[in-house]
Amino acid sequence: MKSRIVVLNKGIEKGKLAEGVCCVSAYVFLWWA
Amino acid sequence: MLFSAKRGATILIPASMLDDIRTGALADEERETLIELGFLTSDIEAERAEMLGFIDELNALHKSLDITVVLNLDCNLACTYCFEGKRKGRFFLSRETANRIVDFIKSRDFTDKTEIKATFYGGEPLLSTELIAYISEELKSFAESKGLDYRFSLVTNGTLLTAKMVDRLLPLGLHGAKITLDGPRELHDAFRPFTSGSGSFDAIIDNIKAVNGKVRIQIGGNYTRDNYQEFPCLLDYLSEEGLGPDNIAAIKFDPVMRESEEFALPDFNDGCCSINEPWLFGASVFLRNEILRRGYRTPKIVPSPCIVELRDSYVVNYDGALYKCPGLIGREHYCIGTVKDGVKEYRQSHNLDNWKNEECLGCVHLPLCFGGCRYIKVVHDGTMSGIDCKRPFLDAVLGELVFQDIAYGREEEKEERS
Repeated sequence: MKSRIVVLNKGIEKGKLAEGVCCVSAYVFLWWA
Repeated sequence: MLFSAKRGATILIPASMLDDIRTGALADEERETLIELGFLTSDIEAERAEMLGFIDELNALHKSLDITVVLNLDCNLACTYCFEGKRKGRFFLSRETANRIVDFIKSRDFTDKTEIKATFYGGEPLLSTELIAYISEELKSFAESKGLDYRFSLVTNGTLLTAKMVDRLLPLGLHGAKITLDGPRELHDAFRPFTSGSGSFDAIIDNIKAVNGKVRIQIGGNYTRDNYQEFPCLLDYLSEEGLGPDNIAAIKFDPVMRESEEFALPDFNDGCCSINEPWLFGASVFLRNEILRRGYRTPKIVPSPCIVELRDSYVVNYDGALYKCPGLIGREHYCIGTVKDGVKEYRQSHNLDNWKNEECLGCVHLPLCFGGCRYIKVVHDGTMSGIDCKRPFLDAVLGELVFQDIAYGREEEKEERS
């Protein structure tokens, strides 16, 4: 059966998230995309 | 469309499928996909336990030791809203303190670490170029002896970031620079003049062009309620000047925040006190859309804990005092030690785990907030007690931000989807 789910964005795995984790609040200079 | 805050994933499903989810009538493959992407759990208690351990898990997975060094509190600009406010002055980190910073870093536990990442900050860090070089030489040499990588970034006003400067710093580990442009020329020059009073915009643009291709450039900008609508003119100008999405690593605009009376400049009374101010809802969505629709990158909507929760991340002030967030420097109560004497216990003073309460654990936005920004909490309430709840902001804007990421998704992601 064909899946009814269309994945638009897989998001980010925790390992990858932890690599780039940074401060992304409103007051910030410490964000690195 | 469904969005998983836990992982930043977005999916499209037919409405009828919601009933199948509720009644357990999903195909195995669909169930597995939903679980994998963070939309479904078979055990609500297990998911709660996962969320309670989320930041611990991130800390365990974090492969770098991060240090932000405030090299000085001096500057060649006289920004009207300067974040350092009354803290600003001719205060410079000494060679003796630089040696202690290096020793402090060397004393850290590098088990499971692969990298040392430094951010040089100020004041204006490029007024202390010799110290950037000195600290970087020492850390690079140490890192290599341990089989680690070393790299550093600059948070700079951009006026001194010449090609010659970049050529000197690249071999020492320069990775990127974040430069502030507060809108188009006239606006920027009014908010960020040199101390002489003349505008800094053209000097910065010239430098960005000169170092283009040598180093990753990220652009930040600080807007107010009265001027944010002019910021798209800056984006158009950058494109016209050959600084398009291929040349700029990312752009993000943030509102000017109001400092507490203790540090705020007496002549600056603008700036907001909370991300939940209603005008910000429209402003932040508008500006993010303007950035994305021109093809520039900007941070995605993903889980983001407050920097004070990051175990292996430190900020050191010019005098060697240690903090957990650059916004907290000079606030004695939030000093967590010194590079000479080491790190004191700060779990209580920084109200770590402030989000581990029933209200936050039951909130759909928890992974995007985790109790909010401790610095904002201190400025607003004078204490870190309690949380800086982002719910009003996220309730108002999250749907639109998620739509933006889909509408302007990068080409590789579009191909992957098709």
